[in-house]
Amino acid sequence: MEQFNFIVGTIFILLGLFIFGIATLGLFRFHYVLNRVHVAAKCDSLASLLVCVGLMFFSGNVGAILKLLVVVILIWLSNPVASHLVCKIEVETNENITDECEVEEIV
Amino acid sequence: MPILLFLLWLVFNERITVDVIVAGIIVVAILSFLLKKVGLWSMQNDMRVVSRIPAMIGFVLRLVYEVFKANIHMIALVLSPNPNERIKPKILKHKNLIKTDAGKVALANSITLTPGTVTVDVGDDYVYVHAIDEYAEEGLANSVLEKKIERMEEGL
Repeated sequence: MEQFNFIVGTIFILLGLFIFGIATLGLFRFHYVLNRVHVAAKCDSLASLLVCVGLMFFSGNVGAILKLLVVVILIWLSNPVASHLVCKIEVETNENITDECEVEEIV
Repeated sequence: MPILLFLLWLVFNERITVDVIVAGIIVVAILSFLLKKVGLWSMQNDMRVVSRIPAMIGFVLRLVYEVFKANIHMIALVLSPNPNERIKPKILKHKNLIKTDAGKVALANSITLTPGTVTVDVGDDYVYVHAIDEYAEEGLANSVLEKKIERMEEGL
């Protein structure tokens, strides 16, 4: 059982680290803020979920598992809000936004 | 709400003994009293939230599935040889029928977490959305999560 927990936890954490790596790579491969935000918003939330699930397998007691669950919930609530604020400021302050993307109706 | 606060207290303490429970009850009582004074908590509100728990569980499961889909889409985009030519960014105005503030927050956050879309601004009956390519636009037009939130508002 100990060994099973270790293996499954390692798989989850490695998967999470892989997605964190993709997110960092994506930040450098896209050239504009609004495109970069996509990578940062989505990949980070899934990666933190996977890392926390991996840590749950490692810890093995109920208190730590529930605390990690609270961590995941807080990240999932705050991450979209933060990226939304970045987007909003960019759209409102950039005067040449139509150069970068089609705009259906200006704010 | 008081039950939720008490459970959170127990989670943070990691053990269930008499002194923890007594201290928790005192703290939760003070907090509930203050929340009631400010107007953030009332019994009717809690009952409505409780009646929606099954819909909420369905919503959360669907959200996790959508996040996995979004990440596969994003990974494929980032690892493709020329990501800047493959995307077609566009800002859309997306109309919706969601009325309550909590529903709007849920919609805005779930749009950000679903494939290829990020919320830019939230208004009374519309959301400005930045979509990264055509696949994302289609996903937004017939989104399952939006219907789930509407159903949650009706209290089914």
